Amino acid sequence: MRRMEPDVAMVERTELLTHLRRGTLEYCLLATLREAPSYGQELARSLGGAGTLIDSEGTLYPLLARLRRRGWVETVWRDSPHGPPRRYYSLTPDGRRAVETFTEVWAPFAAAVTRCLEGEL
Amino acid sequence: MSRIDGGTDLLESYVADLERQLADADPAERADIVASVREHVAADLAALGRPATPADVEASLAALGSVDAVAAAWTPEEGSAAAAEPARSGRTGLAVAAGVLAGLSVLLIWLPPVAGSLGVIALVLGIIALRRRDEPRWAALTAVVVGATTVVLGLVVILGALAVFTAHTESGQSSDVVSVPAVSPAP
Repeated sequence: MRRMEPDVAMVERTELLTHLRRGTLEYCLLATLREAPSYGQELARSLGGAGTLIDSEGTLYPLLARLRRRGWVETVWRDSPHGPPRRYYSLTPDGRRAVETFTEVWAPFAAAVTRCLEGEL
Repeated sequence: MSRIDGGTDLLESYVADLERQLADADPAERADIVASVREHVAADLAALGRPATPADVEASLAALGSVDAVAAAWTPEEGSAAAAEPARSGRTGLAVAAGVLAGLSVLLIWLPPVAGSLGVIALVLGIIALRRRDEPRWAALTAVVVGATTVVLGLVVILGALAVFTAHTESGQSSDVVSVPAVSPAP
């Protein structure tokens, strides 16, 4: 019985992470672009590499494509010191507004969740 | 399986698989994702500073994540064609269509056969819409009530007109009947 537990917990953990990332990760991407434009691999590193926020670098591209389609980011090609030119993503005014709104909503939301989990409510 | 560069085959099969899994995505979005994946691998290989081997391509694709993982990161946008919305808006359309037909039947009430027919269609569509849970109830209910009213009104007007016509015809016939004996003995 005890040997089964870690597997179930792992699956639950993975599913939970998938749910939590949905709806938050895109704003983390926007937030990392607030200071300066960036490219795919650099964005993946900024998000802490594979682990908590992303599973692997490739999972960022569907999100970036969506953000671009929404008009929240735009892309520009820049030369790279080594290798082919890179596609740099930068925030549009709409993207900046979106991440500002998210920040305003997220802070009290996260605080309320934390208070709840710590039994302070 | 190319003898020249097995790595290219790896990348192409990865991309083909990804395109298949993103079949529901908007074509521009899919093209964007695939292009980004290709650029990512190209950048990884260029950073090596030496000719890339199939193992390098494999390592780069491994860092990208499995095709399943990348495709799973794509979700249909709310309100998009792939987000199961069309079925919903199509159903909403039924109640609205019923409502519009009911409205038309009221406007054309001076043409009772037309108004009555429209009323019947509005009534039927309205009832179907009412039985579907995701249809707007107010539109379906309005269609049913207005449709039923115009059907009844149309029937009353048609029956009334028929009664008047029949009465008129009968009175005409009776005058003919009266006139016939008056004329027939003449020759």
